[in-house]
Amino acid sequence: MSEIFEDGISRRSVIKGSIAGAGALAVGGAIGGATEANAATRALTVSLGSNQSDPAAVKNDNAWLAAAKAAGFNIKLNRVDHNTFQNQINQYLQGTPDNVFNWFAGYRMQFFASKGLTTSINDVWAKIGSQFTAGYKNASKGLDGKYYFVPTGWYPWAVLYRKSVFAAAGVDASKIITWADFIAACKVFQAKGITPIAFGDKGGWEAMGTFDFINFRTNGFKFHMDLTAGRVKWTDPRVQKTFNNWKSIFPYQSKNALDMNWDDATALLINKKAAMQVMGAFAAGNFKDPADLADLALFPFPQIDPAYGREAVEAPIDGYLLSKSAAKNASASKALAAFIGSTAYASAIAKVSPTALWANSNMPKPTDPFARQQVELVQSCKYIAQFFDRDSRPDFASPIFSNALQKFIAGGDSVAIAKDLQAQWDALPPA
Amino acid sequence: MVTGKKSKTGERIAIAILGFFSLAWVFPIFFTVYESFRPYNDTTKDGYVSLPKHFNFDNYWNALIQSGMWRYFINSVEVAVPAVLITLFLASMVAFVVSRYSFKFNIALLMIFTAGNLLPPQLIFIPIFRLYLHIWVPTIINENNVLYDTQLGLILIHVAIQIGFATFVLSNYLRTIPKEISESALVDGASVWAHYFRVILPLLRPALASLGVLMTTWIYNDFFWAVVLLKSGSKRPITAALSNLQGEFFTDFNLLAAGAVLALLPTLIVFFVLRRQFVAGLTIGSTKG
Repeated sequence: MSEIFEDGISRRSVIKGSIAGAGALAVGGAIGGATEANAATRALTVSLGSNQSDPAAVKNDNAWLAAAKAAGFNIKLNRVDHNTFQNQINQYLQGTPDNVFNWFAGYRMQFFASKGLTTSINDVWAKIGSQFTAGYKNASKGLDGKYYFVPTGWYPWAVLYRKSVFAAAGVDASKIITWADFIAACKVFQAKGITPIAFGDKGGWEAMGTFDFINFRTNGFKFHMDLTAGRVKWTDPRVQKTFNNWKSIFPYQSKNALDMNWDDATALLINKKAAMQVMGAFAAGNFKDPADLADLALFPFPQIDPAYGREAVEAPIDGYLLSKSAAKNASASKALAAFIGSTAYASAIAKVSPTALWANSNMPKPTDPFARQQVELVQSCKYIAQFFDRDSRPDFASPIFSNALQKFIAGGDSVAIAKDLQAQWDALPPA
Repeated sequence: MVTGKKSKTGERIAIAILGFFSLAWVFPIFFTVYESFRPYNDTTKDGYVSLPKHFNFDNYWNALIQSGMWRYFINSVEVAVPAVLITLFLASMVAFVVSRYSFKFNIALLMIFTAGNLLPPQLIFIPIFRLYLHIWVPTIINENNVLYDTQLGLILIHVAIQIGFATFVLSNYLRTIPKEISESALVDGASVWAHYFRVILPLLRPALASLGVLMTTWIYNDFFWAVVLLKSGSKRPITAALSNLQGEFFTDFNLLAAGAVLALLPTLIVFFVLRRQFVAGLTIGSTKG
């Protein structure tokens, strides 16, 4: 995954000539020979399953759907709210799924690919491949080495903070590099009566971000990936090192974490009642006041073991998959996949969401300072994780692991929790 | 005197306990209604427990018109009305037969109908999901030609689930009606159909009304089957569509509160307008069985 951003943007000018992109080519190919207009429409009729239910995401969806319509696609949209879509995904894919649907990179994609519930798209990648770096290519392949996924955008996780709050407390975020620096900063805020780390885990998934960071900072990226994929046991003593490191910042986290969702915790940041939050950059969407948003910044999660430094980051990649039903509507579905991989897709969304971050290397670099910080953060990292629930088995991440973390946060014994986690992993049906 | 005093303090304690519990029950609803009138920005700044700065119908407008919730009300009606009518029609027929004719499997039949009710839906939804994927329907109903992801499928499952209880209640109710009425109908030469349509159905009317009210609210409130048997967001009834107001990262809880109040409204209206039938529906046929 290391190469995602290495050559990214510099190649933009070279390929600029082909900016209309593979999408247009693919569209041409699909229409190929159809003389009647309605035959062409029929050929490009695709059903699309969307889990984009946030108001901002709906706006983005509408922007690219309009562009796709202009390119000749007749898209039958099926929008379902995000949580229901995620919870129903098993039935959805085994039932009568839409041809193309929103999904993520990582184990959670490979899981369904290996069950034959998705359609591989090597031929699409032959067209769009030149616009993506090696990291994205690897992230789009199933365990069988075939391409399944079209990446669109991404967002990193980091320590979010408000510049004004740090300035008022005399803390310099750029100097927080080691775990000791981090704890020292926490103590400064605590003395001032500000919650150092806003933390909510009512949803059960929020704390996975903190776990991932502490785990690969403590034990390295390889260990983390082995653990999430079940190649290392939870009873391994290194897991306890992670939990113990986490415990050392418990005094600085919100006490009522299990009563708060992530956005309740973010509200503490917005209201300057808390100093920092370990969260995805999407939290910026909750900063409705432009002045608050301009005050928002991030720094990389601090180093714990110098051997691993700050070499890894969580930056989940979003994109699209083709379901098994796409095989019956192959040419149109694959044409749409190619369109989604092209800059035509990304440019349409960039018009309404200028701060979005793109997987396609031909897209221009963002100008917004917070977006730039995100790009720089990810470019500085050697390894990119997809977030626990995308790197591990879906049926393990939730509810097993999410419940275990909530128990740990409530003060549960980490040794017993780890033992229990391993027992539950072993009891899972073979994937 | 002493006992009188004692019962008075006992009464006070009872009122205090009842008052506490009714407050505990009503509080979340009032709190939801209260938040639904406040804009998102106020509550993020001041917290949910705070005095209102702005108080308006914006959330309701947004939920109903901008988010298009009104369409899902129509979906709910399209499922609930046929489901209730079919359930009552079929259940009244079974009730008629098991209460007016005696044959060998009479009791067994009634028991089978009622026993089906005891299986929790969580236990049977996977087989039903698989079944629905194999039942063919014409393209007009579903272009994928399966019963899964159709409102028809939803109606059928509601009929199947509710019919047991409806039959049980209606047959009990029929047993409270003197058999002589039926006997005189038979003496007058009424056929089975005439007996059912012209004698039994009119007699069942109060029971059907009460049961109809009760079942409408039950089916309207269903969330589980709507999520399990439908994949298309646009076909969902209001209960399942309520989650459309939630995003992946961002949820405007004030808007969600307004949506929840809107979804609750029909049930409340039915309850307050038809309270007598509602209560009668719950106790019907319980006098004799």
